[in-house]
Amino acid sequence: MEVDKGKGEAEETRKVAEADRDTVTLKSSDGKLFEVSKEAAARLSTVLAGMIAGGSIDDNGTDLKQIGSEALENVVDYCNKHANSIPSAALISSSISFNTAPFKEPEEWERKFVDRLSHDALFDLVEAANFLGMERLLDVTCHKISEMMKGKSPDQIREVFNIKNDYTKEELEEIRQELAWAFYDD
Amino acid sequence: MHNRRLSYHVVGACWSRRPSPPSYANPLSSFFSSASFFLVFRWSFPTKNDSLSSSDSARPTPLPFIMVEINWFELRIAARRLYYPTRSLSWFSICDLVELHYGYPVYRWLGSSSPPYRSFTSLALPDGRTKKVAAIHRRYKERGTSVKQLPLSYAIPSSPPAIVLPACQLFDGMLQRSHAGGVDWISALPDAVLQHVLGFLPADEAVRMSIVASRWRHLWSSLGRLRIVWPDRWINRVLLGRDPACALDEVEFVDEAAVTYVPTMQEQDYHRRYDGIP
Repeated sequence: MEVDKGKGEAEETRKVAEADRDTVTLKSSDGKLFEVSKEAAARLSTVLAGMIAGGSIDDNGTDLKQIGSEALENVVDYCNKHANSIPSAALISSSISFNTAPFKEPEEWERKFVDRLSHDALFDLVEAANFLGMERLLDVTCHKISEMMKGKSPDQIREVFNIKNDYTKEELEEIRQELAWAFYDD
Repeated sequence: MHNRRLSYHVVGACWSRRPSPPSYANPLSSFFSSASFFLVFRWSFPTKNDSLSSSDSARPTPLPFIMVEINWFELRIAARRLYYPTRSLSWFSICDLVELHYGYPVYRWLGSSSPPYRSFTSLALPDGRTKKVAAIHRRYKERGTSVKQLPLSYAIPSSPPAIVLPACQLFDGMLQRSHAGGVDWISALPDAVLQHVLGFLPADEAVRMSIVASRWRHLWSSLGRLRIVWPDRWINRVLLGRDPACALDEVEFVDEAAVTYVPTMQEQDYHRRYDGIP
């Protein structure tokens, strides 16, 4: 009996230890620490998955020098929300077809998630997602940007995104002729 | 659905070259050399006694488009061995061969969680069983019946995992960008991300984006993803104008208006010849 109890306790402590290792600590460029579940990180980010598999995860905070704290906060936020929103069965299948699944329209919570971001934050998040190899987050954020572009004229797009038009008049005319089919109805 | 005939028409085509995927994931991938030919199909199942020109209710249900990746070399071999011993490959014989073989490299289908042509995929058996395939195909042609179903996973290999390159190389100096107001932040993104964004725009709109700035001029020709809003008159132009060295990974077809299926003359001819539909 006593032995069994001891065993149980030992198992419990082991479980606790495992639970401890269930999270990954990430460190932003300005030194802030964020925790995210290891499972979600590995599933959502190919880069983090590689780091976890390769053992290059630092318990005191894995340095992500390229990502600012705001962007990283959004990333972690996204990971948590994603983990909460998916039932476990779908989770398994999504982990299998992670790299190959065709794009699905953003879900309601994902829409809300990107809609509340400012231009700057969205931009940072795109870079962070790309850096961390988070396909879904990249899809959702890029989809958001494409929605901002949709139906706008080139001039409007230049205005919205502060893009400088570096074409000369001749070049513009050249493109218009080259792609006349796209610019003019017959 | 089993008693229905499968018909299709080709929407577009393009050449593509992609690095050979790792063979452990997909043993069949070793068949495919680097050059591939893509066809974009639209499939539909008219009911048995359907006439394509009949009233709305009898109109074949439009099904999702699919992209098929074809290996030219293997097509030739198959053509010689199987049932086009003398004929050169015409558009429609290609379609026929794809019909036989498309279990191998159906690249991606979109819009539906379960492929509606499940019974048909069983035609695509691995090599070495060509006789049986031909027999199935003949029987299918004669009677329009469905063939014995095989597990889908057997007929269609999962596509190989994308090769993940370390993103770090792209991002050295990512934070050097200034954060001042009015910053052109979209141009600071790497080309790959910009193209990702363009991939979510309708294809012709993505082409028109080339006029925004010189950096954008050629982005459209190497997009990895296309969103085609049907009916799209320019799909062939977009596909053929692509940089042949760039792989097309995903195509999304969006049916904005309800599609009314009006076969072209060629398609009508094809239906007459092969489907027995007047």
